[in-house]
Amino acid sequence: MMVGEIGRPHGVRGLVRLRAFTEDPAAIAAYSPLTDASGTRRFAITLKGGDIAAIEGVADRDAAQRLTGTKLFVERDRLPATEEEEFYLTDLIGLAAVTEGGESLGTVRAVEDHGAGPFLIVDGQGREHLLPFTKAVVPVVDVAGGRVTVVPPGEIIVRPEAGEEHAA
Amino acid sequence: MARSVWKGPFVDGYLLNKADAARASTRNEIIKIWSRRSTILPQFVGLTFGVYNGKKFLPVQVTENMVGHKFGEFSPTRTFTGHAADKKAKRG
Repeated sequence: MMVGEIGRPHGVRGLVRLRAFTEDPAAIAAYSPLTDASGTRRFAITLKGGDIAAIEGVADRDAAQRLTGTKLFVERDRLPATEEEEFYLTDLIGLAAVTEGGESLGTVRAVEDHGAGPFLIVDGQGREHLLPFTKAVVPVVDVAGGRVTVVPPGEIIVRPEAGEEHAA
Repeated sequence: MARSVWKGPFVDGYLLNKADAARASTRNEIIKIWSRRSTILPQFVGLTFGVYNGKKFLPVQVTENMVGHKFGEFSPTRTFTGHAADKKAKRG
């Protein structure tokens, strides 16, 4: 899975700017050595403060310049185990969403959290479903089986009505 | 005394009735609202709202530490899609 990207060179000693996509940007160094997209090249990375990093074997600016734009990957099995009821987003994305009756709702496209609890974005049948990631709505997460079982919640639609707006 | 204190928190009145109805219901429901300006009150804790962001209704599960904030704060109107990387989601 992609965890970062090498940015522009910094200085003349082979340092680079590193764009980390990890939850804690400093944690990217803990996954070192990282690989490129093909998995053939390996990069041992040491953070030098902020987003500046040294890459083993890269000693001058020209070498650093050649790596600009390289995407950095780590194998899924190197990530630490999660706690109970905790899931990596990368595991959830792509799972099939089916109802308890076996009806397919689509595929999990993304998982977002804007400070009010995570929710799944399920794409399917020309419609997008936004489902709170709770035990009530998503009672079963079967990562190995490639599916989540969902109980789509009911909807109460509260339209604003003229004359009803007032401070309570 | 500050005006905001004596006047009390603003909330669109019709939300209160619907929240009470949802609380009485045992079904798993999302209350879809357009009122981003309403303050989150203690009686909303535990409910799930769908707060309109101009395009869709984003699920907002109200918890205690959200009380006093506005609904709109949890339903961003601009899109930013980052990378999943090692990010985790905890099922509530």
